[in-house]
Amino acid sequence: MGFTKRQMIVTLICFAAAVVLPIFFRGSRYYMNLFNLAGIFIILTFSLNYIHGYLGLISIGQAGFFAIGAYITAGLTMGLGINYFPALLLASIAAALAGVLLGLPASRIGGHYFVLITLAFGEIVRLIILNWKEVTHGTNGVNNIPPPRLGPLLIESRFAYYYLVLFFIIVTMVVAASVRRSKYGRSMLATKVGELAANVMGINPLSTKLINFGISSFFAGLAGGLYASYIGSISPEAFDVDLSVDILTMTLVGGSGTIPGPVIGATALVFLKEWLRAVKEYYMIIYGAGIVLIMIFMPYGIMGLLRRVRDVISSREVR
Amino acid sequence: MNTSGGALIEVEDLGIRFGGLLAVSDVSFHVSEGSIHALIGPNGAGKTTILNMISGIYRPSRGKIIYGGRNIVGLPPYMVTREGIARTFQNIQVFEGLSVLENVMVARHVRTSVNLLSTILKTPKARREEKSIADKAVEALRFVGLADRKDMDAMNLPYGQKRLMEIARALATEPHLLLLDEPSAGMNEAEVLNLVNFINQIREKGITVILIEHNMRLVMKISDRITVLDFGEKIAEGPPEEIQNDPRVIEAYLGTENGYA
Amino acid sequence: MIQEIVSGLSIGCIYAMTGFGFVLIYNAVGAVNFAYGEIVMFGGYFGYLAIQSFGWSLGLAFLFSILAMAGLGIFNDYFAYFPMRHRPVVTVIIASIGLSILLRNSALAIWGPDPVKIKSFVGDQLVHIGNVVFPLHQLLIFIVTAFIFVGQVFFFSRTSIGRKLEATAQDQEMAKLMGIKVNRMILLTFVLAACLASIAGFLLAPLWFLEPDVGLYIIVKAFIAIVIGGFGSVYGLMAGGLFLGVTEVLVASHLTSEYKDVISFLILVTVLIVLPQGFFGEKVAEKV
Repeated sequence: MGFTKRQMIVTLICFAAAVVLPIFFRGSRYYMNLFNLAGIFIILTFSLNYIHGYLGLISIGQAGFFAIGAYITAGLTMGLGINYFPALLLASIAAALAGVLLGLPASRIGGHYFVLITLAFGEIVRLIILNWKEVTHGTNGVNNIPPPRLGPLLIESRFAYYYLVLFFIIVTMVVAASVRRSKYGRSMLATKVGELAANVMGINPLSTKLINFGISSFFAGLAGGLYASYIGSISPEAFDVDLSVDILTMTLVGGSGTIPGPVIGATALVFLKEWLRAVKEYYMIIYGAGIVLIMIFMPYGIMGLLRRVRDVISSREVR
Repeated sequence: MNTSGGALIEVEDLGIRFGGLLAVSDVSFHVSEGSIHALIGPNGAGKTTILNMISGIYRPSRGKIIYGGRNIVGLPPYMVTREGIARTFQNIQVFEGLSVLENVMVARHVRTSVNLLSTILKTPKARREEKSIADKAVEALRFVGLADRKDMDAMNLPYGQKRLMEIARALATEPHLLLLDEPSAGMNEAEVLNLVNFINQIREKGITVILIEHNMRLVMKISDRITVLDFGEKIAEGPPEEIQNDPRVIEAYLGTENGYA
Repeated sequence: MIQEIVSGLSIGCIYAMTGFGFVLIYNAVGAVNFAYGEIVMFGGYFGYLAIQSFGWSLGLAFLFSILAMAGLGIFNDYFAYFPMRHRPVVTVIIASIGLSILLRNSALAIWGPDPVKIKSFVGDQLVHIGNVVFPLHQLLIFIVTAFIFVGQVFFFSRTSIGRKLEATAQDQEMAKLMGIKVNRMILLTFVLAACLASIAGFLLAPLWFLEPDVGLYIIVKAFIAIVIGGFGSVYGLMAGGLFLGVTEVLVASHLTSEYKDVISFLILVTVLIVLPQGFFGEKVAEKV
């Protein structure tokens, strides 16, 4: 069950392209910014990809884990003076713990309740950030978050940040691929399509889901930590339900449960949002209608569409 | 574990209510180690309900299930499987989207120990374990004759082969006791003959079998002992030749389409 | 204290009213409708539109709202449910999230972000009972909610169309075999739920302000009420709504107003952990 040769080649070409891409855009702060945001959203989309793609559940609370990652990274680097990278790791672990903790009640319940409880979680986190002013500074937010320092190297420019994000995207993807091809990934997929049958086959549904939530929120937290130091300032309104819905849309547009899906979905939406800024008032209306239309016409996202095209072509070749 | 010939599982006064309805009441039977024990009875007699109670899906309202010397009532299904009881389903349960091999590999996980971090980091131990999962799964598939189908999407298997895959999956958990719920349903004559062969081979491996079946020829041919249920109650028990001539059994079956062949 | 409880009960009634329509749709299509909060909000906004832009009276505005909402119910069915009726439930849930974004931002584009208000049918009058003073509108909320509550129970158990709807909700295949036109019944459910939302919107608007975000707020609260009561039980929903309303008001005035909503969410999480089937719900066994 390894990669096929074609998958390997496509993957390598994509990575090579990703590595050389900023060389052409180095002069454009505008595009470098979009690339970096897309990168952070790719990681964030991978986090929901676990929950939706591997367990079939919908979360609209990912912004909560993103916020935990962002605020804890900021707090550890600014408040305690810890180096960025250990701080990022600790923040991601904290987000993972929050995910497991939320998973304890959430994994006992069916799909409908799950959406609700994640929504509640995201709102609880946002409300706490908003109101716990002594620590989070409420609506003023946390400002002047220092850029990451790697030994003597200060990762400050958008160009340098691009490679930092790219590194973490690769880590995220490697982990995603290795989870999918492991006993944990199989247990999740079996639980997704037949929880009771999987249970009878010896799969503990609770631990399977908790592991899923843990990995998922770890990466949401990681994305949050990257975001905090990249933007340099964070405030509660950046972490509302709309962000969680964005992540959901990115997951669906790309094609959930696949490895290329989150990359395609996040990149497409970051750019689409940017280009539609001209029609700002109507943008969100189109966006909402777009979600419904995607569900009607391409429920398996762009990856599903590609797969269908491929199937049509290969069935023609046979004839 | 009990010595050979002793009871591997003892079902004592088992009963369950759904809403106000008594689906199974005071059913007791013992299954001796290494035997094939059939549960028969008309539709709605409570056979599958009993299997569901043994495998931990339903919690009985009363009674005990003594397995390996202890009461397993209240254990969740995955723990029951870990204890060595595996099963197949009357309505086939295929893990959609997974290959045939992966479907069977899932059943091996209960016998694995490598943790998450080692798995993600792909340590040598994790690689070894993953390989052993695959090897054992292939072995189980080979046993039921599906090894050459291992890379197919399991959903695309023909019906009879899905049933065989379920048996392979159950065997992959390394059970002491195997619960088969109507394994011959939807199989053709040749496949049924094949099945008889498998069940006998399974017994030769030392695995005890509880079998629910409507195909009476199959039941009479391979069972060591038969428990007959009707309306949730046990109405007879004994070896096949005795059951065949029991007037209560004949009465219970009269007028049903599943009469004796 | 009594005043607070009365006010809490009236808020609870709004939660329960929202819950009624929501559960109606949930029973019919087996999926939660995230857009229902926005639908309630539109019930109020349509009234505001008729009063503010057309200059109509409150009564006419209410009629207009009911009619417009019936249209919105049809739109909800044909756009965000019908095309996906054979797909996994998740698809329908996500579509409803899309619809909720569409509606919320349409409201923002049409009526702007500033809160607006519509008057109550009973004006701003106050009621004095002994030492207790409360707005007459709260009394109206009690009466209307009680009426809808009883009417709903009667409708589903006594009328033929209600029984058909109930049969559809319980088992679509069975209903089809009984000769019930299932798709039409579902359409009717969406319309009915939307009209109920119109009433809820008119009760809500004088109590709070209407603003584009109120839909999300109200749907989450209705949800919590449903979970407390247990999915599927109207009595539970009513009790859950009242409990939540009173708790919120008491928490806000005696404990913390900043963390009032956090406490509501914590109630939700606690109920889900301790009593996943709610106080009135039945536990349903999964079938193999």
